[in-house]
Amino acid sequence: MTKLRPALLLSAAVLLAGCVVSSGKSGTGSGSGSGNGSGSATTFSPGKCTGVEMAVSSEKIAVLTELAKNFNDSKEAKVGKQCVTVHVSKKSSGSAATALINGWTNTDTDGAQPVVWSPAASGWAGIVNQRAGKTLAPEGKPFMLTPLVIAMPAKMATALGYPGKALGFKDIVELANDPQGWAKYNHPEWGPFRLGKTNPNFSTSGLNFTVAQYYAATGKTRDLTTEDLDRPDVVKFATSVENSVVHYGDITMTFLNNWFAADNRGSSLSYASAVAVEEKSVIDYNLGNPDGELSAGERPRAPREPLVAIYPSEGTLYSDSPFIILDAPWVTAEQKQAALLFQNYVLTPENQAKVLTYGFRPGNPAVAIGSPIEAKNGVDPKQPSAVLDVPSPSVMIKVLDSWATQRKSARVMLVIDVSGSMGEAAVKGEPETKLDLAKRAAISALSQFKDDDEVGLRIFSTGLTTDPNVSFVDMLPVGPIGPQREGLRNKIDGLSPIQGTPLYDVTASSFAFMTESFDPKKINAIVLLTDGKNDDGKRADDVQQLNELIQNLQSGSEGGSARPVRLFTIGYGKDADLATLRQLAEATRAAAYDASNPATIEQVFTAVVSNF
Amino acid sequence: MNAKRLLAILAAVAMIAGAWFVRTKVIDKKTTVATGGDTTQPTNALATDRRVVCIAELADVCQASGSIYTVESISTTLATLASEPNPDIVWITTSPLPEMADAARARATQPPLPIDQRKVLGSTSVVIAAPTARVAVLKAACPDLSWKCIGERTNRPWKEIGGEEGWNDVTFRHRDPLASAGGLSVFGAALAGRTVRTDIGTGDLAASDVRSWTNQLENANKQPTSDPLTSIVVGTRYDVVGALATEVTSVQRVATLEPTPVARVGAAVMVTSGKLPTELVSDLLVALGKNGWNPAVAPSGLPDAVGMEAVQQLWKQVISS
Repeated sequence: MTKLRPALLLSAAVLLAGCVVSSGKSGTGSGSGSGNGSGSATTFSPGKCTGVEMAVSSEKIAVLTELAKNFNDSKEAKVGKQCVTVHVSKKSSGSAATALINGWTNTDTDGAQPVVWSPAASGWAGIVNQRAGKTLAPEGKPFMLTPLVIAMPAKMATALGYPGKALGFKDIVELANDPQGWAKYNHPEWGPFRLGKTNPNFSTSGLNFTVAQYYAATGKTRDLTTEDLDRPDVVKFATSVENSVVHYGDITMTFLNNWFAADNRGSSLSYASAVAVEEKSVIDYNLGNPDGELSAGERPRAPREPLVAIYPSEGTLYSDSPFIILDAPWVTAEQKQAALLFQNYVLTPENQAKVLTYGFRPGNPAVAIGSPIEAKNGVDPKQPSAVLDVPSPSVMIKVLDSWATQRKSARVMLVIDVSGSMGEAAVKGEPETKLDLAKRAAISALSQFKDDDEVGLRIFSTGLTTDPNVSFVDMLPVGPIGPQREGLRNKIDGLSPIQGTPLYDVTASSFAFMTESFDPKKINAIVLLTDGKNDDGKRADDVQQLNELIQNLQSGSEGGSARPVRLFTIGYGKDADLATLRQLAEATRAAAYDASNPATIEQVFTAVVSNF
Repeated sequence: MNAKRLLAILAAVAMIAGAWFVRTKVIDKKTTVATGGDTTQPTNALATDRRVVCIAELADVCQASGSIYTVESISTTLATLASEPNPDIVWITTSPLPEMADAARARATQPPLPIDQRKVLGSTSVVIAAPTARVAVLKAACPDLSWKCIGERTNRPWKEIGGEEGWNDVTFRHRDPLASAGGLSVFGAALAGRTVRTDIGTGDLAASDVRSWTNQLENANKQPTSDPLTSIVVGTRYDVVGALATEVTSVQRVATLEPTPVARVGAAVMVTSGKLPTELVSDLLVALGKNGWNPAVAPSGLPDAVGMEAVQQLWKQVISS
């Protein structure tokens, strides 16, 4: 061993001691930062407990999340010594029904397989069982109720004589078909009568409204038959109702949020005259929380024009929120037992009182109806005076099939981004590009259009032609889809990525075209899919261009004599400019859809097309 | 081995052992490190095992108070407070961040935090800082010093309002409102000023005129530098910077103006469990005074907690566009 000199040894010791101290100072320990800690994990892990996943329709997510949290913390959450954890997820009734019929195999897009399903109404269980050919959804225990109503701005209802005069579907049809519109009631400034209604394939209020309009057409309140639906007078009545629709929607919240935003701008009366919603939604709207769920920064503020709930004189249906413990292959006996515990917990008088605070009528008759179901919130606890029977599952299926042919026709321009970035892999390492997935989704969605719908295809990118001013090309002009369905499919299939993203240019030109060629007998809309931000090579004028575009879209969509062309936007992939797309859609009182996960594009496209 | 060598070896061992002792008994006990945060000072007047968390804008105050602390971004602390059922934290921050934590916990269905164990101890104002000549030009262009006017001048050439051609555009910057209390105060004050209300919500900020104005104001800020004030000091980019007045006092070659309505920001301390230590409060009061903070006054000109959440939501939209 080499002998060390004392001075060197001391120096080394000083250095080493210093290192020990400094490593302590700068420590690389795990620290106490909490990481993301947002508590928004999408994967439910019950740990050692028995997990009960519950899929519920969107209007009751808040109340059930609260009840599940309380239940999980309570001593009731035990089967013997085994703890139980309930987790609640939001899923529209129609899309949950479709997922169940298809075996709920795609958990990436549909969410975890549920043990409990609570659609908005029991009718959905019948549809699932009928279409699946077996009883996946046994009869559930209704635990909170809300009747279907026709929500109208109080001023408009008063103009029609409400509440002194009872109003029903027949009055709505009469008003909708009157060319004078609101001028007949001395309010020409409100324009034509505009009905908002959701797509019955997705939404319970849409389904219940469609059933109720068939009842109104037949004069019945029970025993609706498939033969009734084929009667010419019934078809004529239903078609009249559908023709007054502004546009459809996948959920009522889309309408209510748009209506509320229009109210903020002082133009709610020209957005819609009436929307079919649940009573609970009228209360939420009047309390300043149109979708019933307060998100960060949302401040409940009463609308300028409150709504009133009109309980149709012909009768109405209840959304009864059944607690359905599924008889599906993935549900174990332990989970069923655990789910039953939660059901009993929800039905206790104490928790039923909580349900009431959210605007639902308690399912437990021992709990009396009270605030907030009261006149000052636009609703009447003594109504409805007549209740319609839920038709048999076979009639429900026929209702949906009939609606598909009688619904208002659409006139839609599909505007698809073919910029270079659409050529990137949709999922890292996978061969399929974003454009590949988008094309497949668009082609799949074509089947939802009926033959007399008019559809066109426009693509946009810089570098489409040698002319630098050309930012889009019409691959197929807007026209009836029946004769050109196959051609449209081939055109979409042949698309390939090109260059930049002149988003603002193509939006402005498409909106101008659709407004100029507006057809009042149809739902006029643009579906714009893009994966990027505006990139037309002229960044300096982006802010000004966006501001002008938004003003242009707004001014074209507002006012009693407006030609409302709705711009539905799809932000596709993680780089999409969702904020701007939301602004553009909201400016036309339509909706923006988030497909930042490319795997969801097919589902998103289906939701978008449900607006027509 | 001779005696000298033996002594040297013994001395070396003693030094290493001593260093080890210092580390394990003194430093490890008193030091915490947060992800992305700064290390703390090993002198403490706070008789608690709780984690003390400071916002960056109050780091000097925390240091001067003798606390052992961690500097964290507000997003990290808010996330902790929203996700942990029983957090044990002392948070030295600005108003209304404690109330934003309450709102986040309510949404996450976590039990409420004690609201009687928090205090506002000092105040400062939101200012705009810029090189002296440009502040004069901006004041002349916006005599009322309103946020509305200032916003309308941004993203346009200085020359249009009497500045020099070489100054290029009026570019406004501030820190990230999602991560920084100062950045949130500035952006919040701007929007409260523009909407002329402090009880703003997402609905108010969705109004097209507000959105257009915000797009114009924030056009230069979509890729914020980590410390916009530094950009003025080093002279690489002469932007107009929004900040807390206490941050600007030591910055050279710039002047400030207080946009109207003047926004008063409170320095606050809260504990998430137990009692607020009186000794810490006293130390913080002294430290705040030494670091340019004024005595506590009622906050004004700033959105409340819900409003600040709305401001953060708008910011997310601004930076994604």
